Amino acid sequence: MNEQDLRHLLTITVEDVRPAHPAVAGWERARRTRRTRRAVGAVALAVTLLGGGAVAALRPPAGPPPDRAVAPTVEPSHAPPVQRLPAELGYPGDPLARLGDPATVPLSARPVRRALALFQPFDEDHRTDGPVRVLGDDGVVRALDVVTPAPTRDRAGNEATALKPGVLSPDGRSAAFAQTGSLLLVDLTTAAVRRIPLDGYLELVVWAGDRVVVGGDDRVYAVDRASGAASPLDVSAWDLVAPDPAAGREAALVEVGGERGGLLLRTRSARDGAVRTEQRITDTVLPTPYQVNEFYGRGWLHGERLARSAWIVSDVIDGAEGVVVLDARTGAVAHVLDLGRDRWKSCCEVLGWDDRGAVLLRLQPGGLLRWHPDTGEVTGVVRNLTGTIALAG
Amino acid sequence: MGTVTTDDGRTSYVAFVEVHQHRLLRAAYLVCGNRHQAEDLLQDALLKLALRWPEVRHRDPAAYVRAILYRDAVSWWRRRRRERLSAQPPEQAAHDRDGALRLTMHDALGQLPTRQRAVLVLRYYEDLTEAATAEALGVTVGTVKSQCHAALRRLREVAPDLARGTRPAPTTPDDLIAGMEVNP
Repeated sequence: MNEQDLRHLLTITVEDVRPAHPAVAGWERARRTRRTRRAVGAVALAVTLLGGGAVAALRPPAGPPPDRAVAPTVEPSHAPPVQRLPAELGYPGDPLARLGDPATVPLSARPVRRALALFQPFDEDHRTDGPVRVLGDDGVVRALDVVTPAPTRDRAGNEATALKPGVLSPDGRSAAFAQTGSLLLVDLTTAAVRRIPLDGYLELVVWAGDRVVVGGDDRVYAVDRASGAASPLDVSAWDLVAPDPAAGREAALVEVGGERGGLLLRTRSARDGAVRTEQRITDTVLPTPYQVNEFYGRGWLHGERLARSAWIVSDVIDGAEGVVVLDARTGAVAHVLDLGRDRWKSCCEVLGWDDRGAVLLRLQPGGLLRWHPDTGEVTGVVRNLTGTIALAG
Repeated sequence: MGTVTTDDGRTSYVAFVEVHQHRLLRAAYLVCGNRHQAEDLLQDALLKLALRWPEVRHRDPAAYVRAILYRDAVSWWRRRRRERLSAQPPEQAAHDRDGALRLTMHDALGQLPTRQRAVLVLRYYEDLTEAATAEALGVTVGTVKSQCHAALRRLREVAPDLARGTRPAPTTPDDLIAGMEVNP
């Protein structure tokens, strides 16, 4: 076989593949997305101005952001199982709103007391990842200057960004980056860096109490934050759900995964990963034709509730984007946030919970949202961020 | 009085997509191994292109959308999903010679990692140079070379008979060719 043969083979392999969408479809989707962005921006500005905040809107915020929960913009109501984004999002102000601000000081010069979030911007023009930023609880954005975690590449060369949801510890004091052959632990309160050698390809990180669970496709370790001691752990790095920070060290680890008709919730021993229970995930509470097809992104526990992003069947399309909240004791789906179809694939990864029971989720294109499953309320946190975010907690 | 133009880029965008989408979809299919996934991938890439059209239209929109398409194809969660989908059986049966080759090639490609498949498609379906392939994938030329080499070696392993299918039936034993010989 020569190059010409290979070209011929590739050509005949696809000769019956033809576009199913008209050329204008992408433009129309973009038009709807732009319209939504404009409406969101206009409403946010109007809220700011009408609230007497004209000067505040034009002046950079001074001092630390308020350490309080976001006030709801609508009265709570009994929420149905399937919820949707409001036509117009409000942005009531949030400590995380500074996430998109440029870094003004290196971390080494001004370590944090507690980080609220990490952000790695993505340059759309050059298709490159920028330097990692650290947003402290004082509202100051630092540049992570003490180490530059590299993107990970598996054996086949598939690349993943170094910063992913889950790398920031729940207490906001440490960041853990999976690297091939090692785990990087950054103490954000002192800017000290430790590199813990570990065998094999590592890509994903989950904080479980004072341990870092780090792994890839074929191996997972649990690493003690204080001592750096590592031991193998029998869990799936992809399906492991980030435990509730309030749960103890011995609390069972939870995995959710599978595909439509076979979605499973599994609990495992925190000590060695031995399977304790396994049960089907049920979505009978959802009205027809809603179903959960498959989960993606990291799942997050908050008490006995579990939130994870998913592709769903909606009343519009099979393959819509959504976020699912389920009962981690029974595997029963309680709520679905239907995010529709005019979004990027895997647009809307869950990034955690806040202490008031709201799910924080990414929106792409877009920014960051809070969703209260019990009330159906959805508020905006940040607009138009391009890049990867990891939140504390 | 001249005609007032209110074109916001729609016309040029649609014209661009009409020209390129067929080939892009086929490339996406070769990388994904699944038609629905390829449609998803292309629609996402075209949405991103449309959102950036005012800035990109006067540069090289084909390179821009190609970079999105291929990098998304090998991206994180999508990769996980594709791996499961590509394990599903082929979408249609084929009875003719080309159909059989198509299925064999589809199955053989399905046994390559996504990044290697993307390199093969960019090099031998899109006919890009190594440098342009590297740029589309955001990797070095050295990575393209090594991935291409590994992909071809893997193809030889998983489909040793594939080469024979692309040529007329041999008339003498000397015409039989074992394995592939491709100059990356």
